[in-house]
Amino acid sequence: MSELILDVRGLNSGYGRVPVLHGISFGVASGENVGLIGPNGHGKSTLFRTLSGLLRAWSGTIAFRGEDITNHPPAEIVERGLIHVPQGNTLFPDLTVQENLWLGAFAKGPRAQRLRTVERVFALFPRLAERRGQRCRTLSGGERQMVAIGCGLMGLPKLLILDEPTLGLSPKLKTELRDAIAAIIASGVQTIIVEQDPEFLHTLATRFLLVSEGTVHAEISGEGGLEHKRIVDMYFGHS
Amino acid sequence: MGTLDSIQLVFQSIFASGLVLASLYVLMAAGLALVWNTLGIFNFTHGALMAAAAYVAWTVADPRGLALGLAVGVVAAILVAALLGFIINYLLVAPFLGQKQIVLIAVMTTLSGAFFIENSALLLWGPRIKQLDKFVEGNVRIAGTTISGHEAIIILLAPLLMLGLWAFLRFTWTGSAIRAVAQNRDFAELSGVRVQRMYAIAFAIAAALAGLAGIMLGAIRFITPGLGGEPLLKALIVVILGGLGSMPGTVLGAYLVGFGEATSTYFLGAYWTQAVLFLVFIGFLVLRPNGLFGKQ
Repeated sequence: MSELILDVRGLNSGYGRVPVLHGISFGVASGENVGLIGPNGHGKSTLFRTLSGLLRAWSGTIAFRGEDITNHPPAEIVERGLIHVPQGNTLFPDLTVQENLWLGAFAKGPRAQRLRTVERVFALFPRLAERRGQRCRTLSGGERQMVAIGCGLMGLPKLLILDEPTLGLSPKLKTELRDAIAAIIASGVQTIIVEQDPEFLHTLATRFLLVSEGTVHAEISGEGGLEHKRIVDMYFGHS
Repeated sequence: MGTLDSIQLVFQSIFASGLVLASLYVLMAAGLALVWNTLGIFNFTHGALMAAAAYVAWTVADPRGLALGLAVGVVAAILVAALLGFIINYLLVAPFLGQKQIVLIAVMTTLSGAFFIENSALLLWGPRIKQLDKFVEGNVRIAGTTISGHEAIIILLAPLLMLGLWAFLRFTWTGSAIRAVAQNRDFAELSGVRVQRMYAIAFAIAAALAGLAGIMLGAIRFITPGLGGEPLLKALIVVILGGLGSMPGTVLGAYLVGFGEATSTYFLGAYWTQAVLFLVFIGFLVLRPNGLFGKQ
């Protein structure tokens, strides 16, 4: 077993007094790319909000690269290289694409390297280079998603969490995005990707976790485990 | 003298006094708008901060105080105002920012803060009214009428400061981060922006702007603890008229209110001007509930 880059143990969290995560535990080993699937409203986004420090963990621990980050400030977690690209690509609507990307590199380290990083982002998403002076509110859904992922990359992530990057995109854009994410993985960034469509994750993830009712219900990993049928079985329950 | 000449004279004097008023409103409303845009609350200590800064400037500058000269007094007062803003944010705003009713809570906490500051000023400086020296002596002629050199400085200072504020928000990392936090707090946090710090900075800048407005006003009117009360009301009109969330709207609103007030004062007298101003303001909001450049 190789070293864990992310180690979540017995995590409980929620909104107000309503618990959403029920003692969820899982690990991400170095070099792994994890696909998260599971029904809506069962805690995937809540899990990420807790990991990135937006939401307080009620109990349990989160360790990133061997160090405890439970309930640390979001900015510090970002600086450590755990970067969460949220669902719904809301961005900073009245800032330009370029300004959004710069803000993705707000922390000191990434800021110093931003010129080099932004070239990589533009190479990955050439359309963003054309639209760099445009306000984000005028972009299409697909372009916004590219900006959101671009912002994540600008922060020089070691582990990039993508929360439903394909939400509302056309099949053609989905394929484009999958190729881009594959390129990101190939460049050495580990990912956790949430996706409703297991087909999308097929070539990207090395392991799948089914999150439902605030905990990890099942997992499939390793060789031969990624066949479509098994994922479907896992998603809909075994017959 | 022909009618044409007298009409010209009327316009000249309205123009001059309107410009002075408008520039003062720009200075006052800018800080109010900055806090609203960034934190989403109205800061009712704004007027009290104006008074506090004027008192500090007087104490540092006046021969009966520390007698260090007006320049030192102005700098000291602006720094004190910024510091007070920082403290107000820390004690009265930041602890409640997560709450759903934050707008109402902030009205109550900052109003009580305002009373606290005003009464502390009364306790510290006493009821005797004071006045700051004008920044420059002598008069300046513009557009055919004469205004004091101090008023000319106000007229020049307002657009220059707006330009400075715009450049700060547009071209610096901190400024971009402040705008980002205003537009999407969660995404700003996920980008590594320390949101509480940006709130504190925005609040301190707004307080410094309030302080500067108070100092400028303290040389025209007498300094009392309530110095900022009535201007705060006008600044509120300006910010709402311009459209909440829009800096250009705030500046335009300030000039509209300034010239409107000058016109109304000339023709109807100071007595009716407040009532007319509010009537027009309410009428305007019926037609455009979001103000000139407001969103949503």
